[in-house]
This record gives sequence, structure tokens and C-alpha cells, in this order.
Amino acid sequence: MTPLDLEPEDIARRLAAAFQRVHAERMSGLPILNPNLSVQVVGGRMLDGDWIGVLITPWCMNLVLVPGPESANHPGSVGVKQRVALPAGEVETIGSEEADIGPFAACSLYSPMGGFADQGSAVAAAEEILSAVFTPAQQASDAPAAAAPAKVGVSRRGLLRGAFLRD
Amino acid sequence: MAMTETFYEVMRRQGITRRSFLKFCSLTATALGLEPALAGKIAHAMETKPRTPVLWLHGLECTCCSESFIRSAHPLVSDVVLSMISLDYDDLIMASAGHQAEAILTEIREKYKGNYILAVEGNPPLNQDGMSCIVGGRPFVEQLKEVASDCKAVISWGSCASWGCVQAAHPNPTQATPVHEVITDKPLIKVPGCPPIAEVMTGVITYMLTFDRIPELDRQGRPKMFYGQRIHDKCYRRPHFDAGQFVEDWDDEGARKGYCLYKMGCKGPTTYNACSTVRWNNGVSFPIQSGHGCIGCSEDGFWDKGSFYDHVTNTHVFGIEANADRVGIAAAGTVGVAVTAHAVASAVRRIKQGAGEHHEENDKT
Repeated sequence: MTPLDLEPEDIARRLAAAFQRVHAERMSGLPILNPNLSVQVVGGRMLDGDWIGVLITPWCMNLVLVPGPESANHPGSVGVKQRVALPAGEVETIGSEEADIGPFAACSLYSPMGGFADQGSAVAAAEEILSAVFTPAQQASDAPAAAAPAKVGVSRRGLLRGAFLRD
Repeated sequence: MAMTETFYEVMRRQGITRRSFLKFCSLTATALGLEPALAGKIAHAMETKPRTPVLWLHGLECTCCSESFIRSAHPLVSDVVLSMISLDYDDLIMASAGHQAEAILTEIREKYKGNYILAVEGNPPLNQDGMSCIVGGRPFVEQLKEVASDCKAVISWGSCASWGCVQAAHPNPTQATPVHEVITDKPLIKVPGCPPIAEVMTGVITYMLTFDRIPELDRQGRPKMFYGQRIHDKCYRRPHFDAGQFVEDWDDEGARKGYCLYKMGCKGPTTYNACSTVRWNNGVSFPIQSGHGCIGCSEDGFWDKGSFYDHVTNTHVFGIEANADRVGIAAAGTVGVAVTAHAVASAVRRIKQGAGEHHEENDKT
């Protein structure tokens, strides 16, 4: 499948629909489900052409990246890990795929979901996490790491993107 | 063996070249997730710091921890670590035997009083005055208490020392007891697993020897750098779990497609360990990759938690990190956003952290 060229709302809708199907069909009746939760997509904004949002289901909460057509973050095949640069820092994602969405990358936030009392608390956590991952690392108040000595040398990603030319 | 001998001198004496030594320092920096620039600091520390002896005691155990440890992936790392920690006393690999071996214990205790690390593999049985485990003609628990009384810190290797493991399983006839319940007055770090991953063991011990402190621990006393995430969080089969694609029977279509093993009893969702990231045998594979579920060997009381093939039915069985988050979120309804922010901050920190990576901000607690 090729990456989607869709509006952010379309991606969120398709993602929610795909996992509502999974909930109704394949996950139905499993004890690992939190019965107080339902499938919902929270947030969903574009970053460098990729769609990023949080998927809440009764069995997991994932940060999801759906690559745009020109994406630098093409997920590998299912199960392949890849580090993705977000404003707050790099996170490790795992390649995944669903019909109607195509290949996407997911990063586990919580699973199982027994810790959430209701949908409201899950959505609140998802919103907080989204705003945290979009906050650049230097601005985060509780990041003493920023005070550490600056990185020496050029990362592999930086090298390929020509970071040394900009310095 | 003067007190002033440094790690570097010990390594050189063991035939390790300067080039290998420097390479080891950069490998260590990488393995611990430190900035490459810190390799120089590690080298400097090892050139100037007096060597810390490690005494490695064996109680009721099967020696799988030692067997794992001596198979550390990088040959240079195992060479260096083995010479560096200079296992003055270790039943498995020391040259001496009998009275001579026991004399080493006394000698190190006196010479390095308060300045050596005690690594314990296995645990002491307390029933019948400890008669179920006799070392050098005396109950192991006596030896353990004596050696611990003068040590700087204790490492509990493996699930036996950390939790009790199989010998402490119900009904625990010998009253096998984890080390932290016997030694209560020393800093103690638990490195559970049956056995722990070799790279985790060398990573922990290198960190302690290089930085002269123990890495940040979770509330159960495990180093967060390796036990901060569940197998499930980083499992390469995770997309199949998320999508509800499960193996339903051994060797069915799903098994051949590499689907999630949760329904076959995989304990990945409740087990904190680095198997799905560091993996085993030089990073070749780990149980789930070989087609079998995780049995949760690094969790407390895993022998008494039912069959390896029953799937996790109690979603409230959480490890400590999730507990912290759950408490945070449950309380959020009453005390507001601050607590949720704590749960969120820990989730964000978790997803940014790679396996075995050490983050300085984690040390601030």
C-alpha cells in the first residue's frame, strides 16, 4: 500500500474505524480489555507531512505516526523498529499496518489499560502526552538533561540530513 | 595487590592493551547510552580509581547467572569486565579451592573493609538453621551475613537472590529467602531474571565500578535502565497484539505468521525486562522471537502464578511502574492535573528511552 494523502480528520476517522473493527471482531471478549474504555483517536496533527496522534483502545494506548506521501519516516514492515524524531526527542516506534490506513508506525504508551478508570482520564492523558511530545526538549522545564554538555559529533540522521553544513 | 592498584593497572596486568582498554571505554559508554564524549571520563576514572573487588557468593541456585555473565556478547567486554571486577571469590571461576578459597573471603573483607561489592547469586534457606545450603562446612546464611557486614553494596543476581525463585515457590520447604530480607542495612540492587541477560549484568556492574554508585532503581530495587519497560512495550510482535491477531494454537496459521502469543500464555504484558530490546545470545533472539511466550522469569513469584500457558486474565497485575502511573491517574480525579502530569512525564520519558540507556535526569531522584 502507498502512504495516504488525506486530510488529518480523514486519517483520524479511518484509524478509529479500523480499530473499532478490531475491537468488535478479533479482541471481542478478551479479559485484557478494560470495559470502561472505547476506541478513540485523540489529537492528530501534521508534523513534516506526517500525521501524529494518539490511538486509545480498551487494550492499548499508542502514539501513532501515519506517514505522508513525502515522509522521511516510512515505517518498515510490521514489527520493524525505527526511531522517529519528534520535537521532544526521538522515540522508538514499531512498524504496523491496517487496511484503509496502510503502513503506519506506533509507539506504545500504555498497555494493558487497567490503570484508566474511564475514557475521560485516558483522553486527558493522551492530550497531555501529545502536548509533551510536541514541546521542544529545550523548553521542557523538567529536563535537566538540557543543561548537560552539548552533543559532540553528528548523529547518523544528522549526517544524512547535512547537519554539519548548517553548524 | 595493593589498595592503590587501579582498574587500568589490573587490566594491563591481565594482558589487555591500551588500545583495547580505550575501545572498552567507548563500548561501555555506548552500552550505557552515554554520550560518546563520556568515554574519556570512563577511561580517566579507570586509570585513577583504585580497583573495587567483587566477591561473588553462591547460595541456593543453579549457576545460570554465572553462566549467563561469562557469555557477555562482546569478547572484549567479558575479558575486561572479568579482569576488572577481578572476581576474587567466585565458586564457578576462581582458581583456588577449599580452605584457601575461604581464606580469600576473610582476606578481602579485612583488606577492603567497606570498599568491596558483594554479588550474591542464589539465596539462603533459613529453615533448620540454614542446613539446606552448606558452604565450607557452615550454613550459607552465616557466610552471607559476615561478608555483607563489611561490603559497600550488594548486587542480587537473578530471580533467586531477588525474589526467591523456584526454591521459594509454594510451599518453600527450606524457607529460601531473598537476599534483601536477610541483608537490610546495605544498598542493594536487584538484577532479576532466570538468568538475567548477560549485557544487563555487565552493564550494571560496569556502571557501579566506573561511577562508584548504583544506577537509579525503581521502587522494587531494579535498575530502571534495564527494567523500566515491559517486554510487551518493545515486543516486535506488538503490532499483532494491537491489531488483535493472535496465535490460537501451537503451529497454527497465526503461529507461522508470527502473531502475538498472548493467548498462548505470554507474560510479556506484565514482565519488566530488556529481552525484547537487548535480546539474548549476542542479541540474536529472545523467547517470543523463537515462537514461545514470555514466562515472566524476572517477576516476583513467577513460579506461583499458574501455568506458563494460561493467558494473563488479571489486567490489574501490573509492575511497579504501571502502578505508579495507575495511582497517579486514579488520584487525578481528585487532586487535579499535577498527578496526571507525573504519569504523563514518566510515559514520555519511557518512550524516549532506549534499552539499557542511562539518562542523567533519572539519577536525580
